[in-house]
Amino acid sequence: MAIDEIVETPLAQQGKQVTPTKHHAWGSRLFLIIMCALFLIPVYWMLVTALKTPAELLKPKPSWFPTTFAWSNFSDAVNAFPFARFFLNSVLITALVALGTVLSNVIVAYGFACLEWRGRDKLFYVVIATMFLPFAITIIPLFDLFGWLHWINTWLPLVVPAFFGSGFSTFLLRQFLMQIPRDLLDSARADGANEWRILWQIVVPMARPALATVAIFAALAAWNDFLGPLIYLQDQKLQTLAIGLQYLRQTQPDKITVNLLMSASVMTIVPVILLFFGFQRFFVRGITMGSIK
Amino acid sequence: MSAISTTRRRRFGVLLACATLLSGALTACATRSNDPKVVTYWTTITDPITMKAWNKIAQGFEKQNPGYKVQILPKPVIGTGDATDLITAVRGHTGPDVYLVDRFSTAQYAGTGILTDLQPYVDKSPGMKSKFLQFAWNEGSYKGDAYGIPNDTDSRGLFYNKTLLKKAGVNPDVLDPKNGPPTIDEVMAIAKKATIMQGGNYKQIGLIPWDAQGFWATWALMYGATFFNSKTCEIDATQPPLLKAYNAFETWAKELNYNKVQAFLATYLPPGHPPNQGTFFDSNVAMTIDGNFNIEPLKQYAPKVKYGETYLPVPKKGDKPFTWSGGFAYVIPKGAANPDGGWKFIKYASGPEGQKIYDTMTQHLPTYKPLLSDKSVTGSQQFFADILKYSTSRPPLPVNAQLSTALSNAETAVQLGASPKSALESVNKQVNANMKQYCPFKLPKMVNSSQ
Amino acid sequence: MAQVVGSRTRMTSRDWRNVRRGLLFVSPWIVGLLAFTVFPLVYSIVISFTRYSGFASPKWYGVQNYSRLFTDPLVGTSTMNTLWYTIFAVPIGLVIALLIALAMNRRVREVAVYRTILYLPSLIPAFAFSFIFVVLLNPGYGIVNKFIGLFGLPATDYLSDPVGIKGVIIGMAQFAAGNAALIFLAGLNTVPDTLYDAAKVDGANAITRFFRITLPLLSPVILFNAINAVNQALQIFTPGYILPSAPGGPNNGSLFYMLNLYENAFSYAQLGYASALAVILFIVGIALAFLIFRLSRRYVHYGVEV
Repeated sequence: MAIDEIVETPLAQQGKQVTPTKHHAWGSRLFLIIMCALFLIPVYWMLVTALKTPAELLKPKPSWFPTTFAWSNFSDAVNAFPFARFFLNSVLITALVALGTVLSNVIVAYGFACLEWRGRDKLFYVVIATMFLPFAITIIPLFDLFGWLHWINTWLPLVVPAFFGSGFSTFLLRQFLMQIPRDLLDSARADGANEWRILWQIVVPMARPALATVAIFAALAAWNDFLGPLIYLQDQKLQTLAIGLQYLRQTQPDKITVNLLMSASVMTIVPVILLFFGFQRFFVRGITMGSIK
Repeated sequence: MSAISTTRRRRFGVLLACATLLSGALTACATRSNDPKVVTYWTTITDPITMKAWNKIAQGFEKQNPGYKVQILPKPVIGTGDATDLITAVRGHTGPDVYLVDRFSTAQYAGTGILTDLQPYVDKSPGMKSKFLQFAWNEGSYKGDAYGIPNDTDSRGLFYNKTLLKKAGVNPDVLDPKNGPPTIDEVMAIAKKATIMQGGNYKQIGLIPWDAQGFWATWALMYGATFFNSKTCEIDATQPPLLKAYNAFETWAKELNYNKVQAFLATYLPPGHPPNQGTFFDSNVAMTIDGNFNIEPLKQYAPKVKYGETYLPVPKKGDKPFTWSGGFAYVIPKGAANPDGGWKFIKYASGPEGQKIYDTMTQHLPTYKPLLSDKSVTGSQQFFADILKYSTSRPPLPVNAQLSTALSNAETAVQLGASPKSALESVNKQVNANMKQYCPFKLPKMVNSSQ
Repeated sequence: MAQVVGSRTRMTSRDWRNVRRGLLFVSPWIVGLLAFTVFPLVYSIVISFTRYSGFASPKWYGVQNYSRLFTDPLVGTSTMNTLWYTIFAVPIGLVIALLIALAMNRRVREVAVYRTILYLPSLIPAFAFSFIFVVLLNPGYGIVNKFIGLFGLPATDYLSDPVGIKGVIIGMAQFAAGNAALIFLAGLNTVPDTLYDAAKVDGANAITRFFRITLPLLSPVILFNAINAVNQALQIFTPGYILPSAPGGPNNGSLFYMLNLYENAFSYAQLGYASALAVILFIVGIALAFLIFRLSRRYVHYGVEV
């Protein structure tokens, strides 16, 4: 069965040497340049619009380039609505989700990768199956569940589930932990260390890159989440950037003009971009590890 | 090794402690108060002008009831009669004490069981009901009980920009109300003259008959739509008045080229435009179908526009003038922390003091009858107060929010080329499955809006 | 290497201890699975046979919610919208990502620059990207109409047309191609050069080499991506909520299945009906994933077999 391959195939046979081609591949280069230009248009227009004055936006023919750079749009956007609060809320929720994901999944992945027990692999098929389940089915029951717990209009529904493992992260971490030499664990066991200690003192330090990858992807998902805050948060004070921006855009158009919306969007994206440039190798690892060879 | 492990363990402990602390903080942010003197009020009308009025009403209430405190939270909605915020809040035990609904959707929300029956409170306030316009009171009731206490009402007419009409070679006096209501053909002929094209795009349009308050309700009610067949207990969107209205949409969309009008609107009224921007404010359209609630924004945002008001255009010369009325109502959601305080606030806000503040500041018409003869309230909206006697209203059906969305979509469908009949048949199919759940259903007797 | 797990027939006390220990470690996931997957699944199925507004206890309603699905025009519309989106966005996305990956695999020297730029839009949250597109497409201050205007065409508001807005959302999805492209690139890196060299010796041209070597070896990666992409496409929500002037508009042109489900559940308080919608989506999602899996079995190659 093909699932066997998915489970059993270790991490990508990496490390293939990159050999620069001798020919110049101008066709590929041209194609890539065109694609890059296309892909940059939205980003460019966001930046340009973010820097335009309202007067310039009202001109019947939009200019390719702002005539005056309205840098004040950024400070205006921060002042026009509780940007700082939304931002802080998003950061906190994101951080908690990342923390929960790493903590819970490393423990679970250890159970699936470093311990030998009967039924383990059968249970791991369930982990893989959950990666492909449409989450839509959960939104109505979970709202009721969190309602019974009086968790609506708090961050708990957004944060707590992260502390209970997730298919994708468990899968990713297990793939990594499988590569840790068994001898290392066994010799620690022989020295009398219990599994909990082995996990935190040997495995976690070794798995740092993988943990960073998992944390980054959990953080990205939390930062970009739209449906969750839309359903669970009503109080503006608790709102994240995603819903806060959308809500104010629709309801207070006097405060959120287009240029301010774009400058707010820029400020929403910048942290993600910084994260990307800071941890590019973890990104690439996560993306390629997520694919199954 | 063990030293490292303890620091690590400690670090882990600190992390865990942080998480617990934060989680505690997460839950602590309660939005409602159990203080019997605190009333939480969520308003669905949140424009700057109206927010000022709410604050003044709250102040008036707090002054009259020392010790009470009103917390006003803006909860704007997307689309007519939408109450997603309220539904999720009540289900999550975080709902307010008082909520403002588009009155014609009161029955819908009462039907889902989200509202408190206010009849016991009303029964304890003898004479209250008789002070309100009967149509508005009926709109706020469901199966004979009051669920929503009326706030404002309104009526609709044609606003025309005198300067633009003159420029187009039309004497604006032909639209003076003393000539009686103009016919639809007359108005469309004038509109044609006041339309300017530039490079294949509209630069100015005489009248977009479906824009602003020209949506389905206006034209359908004008042709006498009832929306409901009481014999079969079904929504009847294919009745002749609705077909007539949607045939008109079809004709207009072809004549004006719907796509070009949409491009014009997206240009001059782009998404996210500030409230002081508007096609009529900015003299981009010569005429618009709108209500008395347009007067105050015109005064504040476009004081230079010289405009006149007249009756809505009617199908035939000699037809009686026509208009229709809507408005909002105060409700108390189920599970409110302080329903008694909420009722106290509603009585003040919907009473003479509250309505006077609201109606003068936002230019709406009162549903509290004695105020209708108060010139300081009706003031600059006298024309609209006078035409209330020709007014009708939408029936208070328990599926109104859904019906409203479906009819709006059918309007767009027809404008984009669908046949009116098939579009309206689809409305029936969409809404009747839901309507069935409330049958048998009896509508309150429809009365004229001036009663 | 790995310890040999105890005998298949009898569990020793040591086995039991191992199982207990293993279960203890994976217990957070088990609790999560029960609370956030199994419970919702069962609850949804039960609720889907009731009339339930969330304010009073559910009432048994038989299969009426399901029979209503087949007469409700909005279910038809939203299903079609979602299918259109899936049918166009997923294959186009895979092809674009594959093309980018192939081009990057030529290892032009500045490939890191292209890789970064092409991945950049994948980082932008869907909601922020939707905001950008509202601006990009506006006839007044957008760049798209400005560009079209250069050819003398009239300004159009694509977001006010039910077909136009679907086209826009499908187009918008393509900006996330960088993500899949990186995965494909990693897959391409695992294809041994010796295979190509051998093929060259045999006289196979570039196209033959692509179809006979590259594509078969990449097929498991493509399969994984296809299943994921279909799963995500079936549940598309955010663009339909943000892009039009009212969610799902114009004329339900961007009313995707999830949005219709959301509105029934949270705007109209018809939880029984919405649950029936969710159950159907769940079944269809699983069935599609299975179907792709089955269909691809004939074509997907695991490991080098040439």
